[in-house]
Amino acid sequence: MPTQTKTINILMIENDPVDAELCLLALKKAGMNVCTEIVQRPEEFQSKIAGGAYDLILADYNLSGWTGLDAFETSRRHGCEIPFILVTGAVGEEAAVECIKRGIADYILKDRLARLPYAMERTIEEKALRDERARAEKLAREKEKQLNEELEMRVIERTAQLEAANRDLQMEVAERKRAEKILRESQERFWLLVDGVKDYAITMLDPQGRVVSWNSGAERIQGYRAEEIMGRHSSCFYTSEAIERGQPGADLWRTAAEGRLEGERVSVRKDGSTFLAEIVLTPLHDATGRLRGFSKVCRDITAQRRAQEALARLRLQQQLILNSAGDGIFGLDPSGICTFINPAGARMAGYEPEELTGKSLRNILLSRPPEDGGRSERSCPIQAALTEAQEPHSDTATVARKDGTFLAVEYIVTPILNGARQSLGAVVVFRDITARRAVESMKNEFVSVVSHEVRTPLTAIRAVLGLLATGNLCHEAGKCQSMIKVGMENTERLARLVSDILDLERMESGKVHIEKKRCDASALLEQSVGLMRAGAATQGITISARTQPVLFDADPDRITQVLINLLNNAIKFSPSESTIQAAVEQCGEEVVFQITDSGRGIPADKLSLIFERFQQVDAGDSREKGGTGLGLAICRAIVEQHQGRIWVESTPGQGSTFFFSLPVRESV
Amino acid sequence: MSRKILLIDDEPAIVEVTRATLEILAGWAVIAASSGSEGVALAAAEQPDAILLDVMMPDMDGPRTLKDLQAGARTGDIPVVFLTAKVQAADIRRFRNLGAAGVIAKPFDPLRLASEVSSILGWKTERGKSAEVEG
Repeated sequence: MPTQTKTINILMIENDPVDAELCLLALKKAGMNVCTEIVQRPEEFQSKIAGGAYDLILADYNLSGWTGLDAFETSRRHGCEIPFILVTGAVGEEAAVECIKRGIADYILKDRLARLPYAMERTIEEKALRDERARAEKLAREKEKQLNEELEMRVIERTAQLEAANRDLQMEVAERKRAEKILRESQERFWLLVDGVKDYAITMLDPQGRVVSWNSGAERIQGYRAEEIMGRHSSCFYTSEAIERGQPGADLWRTAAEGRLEGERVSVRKDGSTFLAEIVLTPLHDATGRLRGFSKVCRDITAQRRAQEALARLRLQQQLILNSAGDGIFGLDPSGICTFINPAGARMAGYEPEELTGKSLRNILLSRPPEDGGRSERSCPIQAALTEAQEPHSDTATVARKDGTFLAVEYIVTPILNGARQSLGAVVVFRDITARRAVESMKNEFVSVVSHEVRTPLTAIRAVLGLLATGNLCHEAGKCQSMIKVGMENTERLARLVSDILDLERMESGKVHIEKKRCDASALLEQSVGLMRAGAATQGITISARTQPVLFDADPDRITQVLINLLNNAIKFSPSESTIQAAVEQCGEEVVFQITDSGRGIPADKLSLIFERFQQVDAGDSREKGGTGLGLAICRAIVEQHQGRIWVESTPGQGSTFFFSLPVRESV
Repeated sequence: MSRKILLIDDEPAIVEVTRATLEILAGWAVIAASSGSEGVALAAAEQPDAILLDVMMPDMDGPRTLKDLQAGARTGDIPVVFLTAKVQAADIRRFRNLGAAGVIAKPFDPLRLASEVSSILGWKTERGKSAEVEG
């Protein structure tokens, strides 16, 4: 018996109200609580199933114009899943099977309505089970779908992650490949660079010093091809002496210990020849600090060293030249600052070279003498050399010395120009011309004196001849004779002067040949005294001779000329009734002649001058004594030609003694 | 017109021939001194019309003598002509700058000496006499 208490909503299709009532009664009898709506036509049925919620459809099989199976088909076409039970008066077995096949839940014969509640309950339960199963299946499907979606999402996310990771990896791989390519290219370029270096031998050594890389520069410098040297120990580049000293190992050890080794070594080529090498050894470590080997850079500096040595020699020579030059030499930069000055130049200015280097010399080397204002800034010739590339020179310049004195100099400026003829400075060479000025002054004075000495007798001769030519003197016999005498005396004076000048010039220029022979000094002196004795006697003067036989080598005529000249001077300046003492003696390796008079003597300030030309004690002596002013100069020239010397000792007012000494033996 | 000339020269021969030249050919009176100091004194005493002065003399040379003459009250206005063997251009310039009226070089032409002195000193009449002598 069904126990269902829940109200069951039934849609009933039944044309026969009795049958419908019978069904309801059967249900009621079974205690079922039902709510029933009855329809008879198809459209009504369709309307009900479209809008109502029924738990069950009960349909008669034979309806008016349609069947219960039609109703079932209609409900299914409209998506209605309400359980469907046929209630029929009679139905064949085949039709019943067909209905069950179609999906009808059950069929009840009207004459067996008692079975209806059970069928309904079972059908409803089955429906509930189906629904439950459907819900469960739906839930399962939904769960599965959710799981699938989650899984799909996770797959998508993971896929995205993997794709991202893949992209990263690809990028990393690409980056790595690019880095590797760059590194490879860099290494290739580096090696091309290293290998392209021809002037340096660039090699790598392993920690033991064996060659592991070898560039073309190394091949060129050392003479080994790479295949010949790879793996060989670097000691093969050392001389045997260096190897004996342990130099190869010491170099590597020092390099590893000190981090770098620079030095010069005598390096050996493959052919055994050697060259001076400048080497730089550097240790190579890996990231952990482990020694991986060494890099060695080697350069042949033989030519460079020779050039350096040549340059050093040139500098030394230049320095020696500058230091030994007697002339002052200094350099100027374009602004006129002294860049160097040699010792002679600094000495001339009274400074140390360091005091002038780096200074302007404008206030030291003056282009004009101080009495002319020293210099003019605007017209300074040295400045012109710096700015206008001129080569000025001056022989009227002056050096303002540190002590305030001035030094007469001449200078020449040589500008230093570059290829574009722009001034890089100048070199100035200057020379002390004080001595030259003195010589020029002496020369001018000498010319003046000679001119005077020549013109004076010429004037007299010229005047005498002029007067005679007029005939005006013929009327005065005494005057005429007097004039002729003046003319003759001055002619002789002029002749002596010319003779002495020529004689002296020939001797001083070495044109007079000295014919030395063995002479006896005492004989020469006595002979000379003998020649002069008579003349002296006419003036009441006596000549005494004290002689000693001394043999020496000399030109006897020239020595006699000296003795006569000195005796003649002594006679001229001796007072009457006096005695001239002549003597000769040997003193060591010399024979010494001396002539002593008792004349007026010579002032001390004249003693050093009287052997110079035209330097007489008294300018009137040439007139009073008939001398030319050249006698003692000639004596000195003759004595000096014999490697001797001549001097005088004198006491003014008491007399003078002239000495000359000659070597007894001719010097070799 | 007769002139009185003072000749100062330490060379006796020059003194003798110059004196003869001027006395005989120009008719001038010549007094002579053999040194500068003697010449200055003689000039003051004799008041010559002109002085012929040698340059190179011992002790007191021509320029120094000229200076003393110029400084002397009685000699300062007497014209001085240097008679000298120093005839380089620089010497002549120097002598003129010292205040000498002129310079005559040795050796001089005796026939022209008086006319040269006259020319230097502006003595026109003497030039005529010299010209007469020359003629």
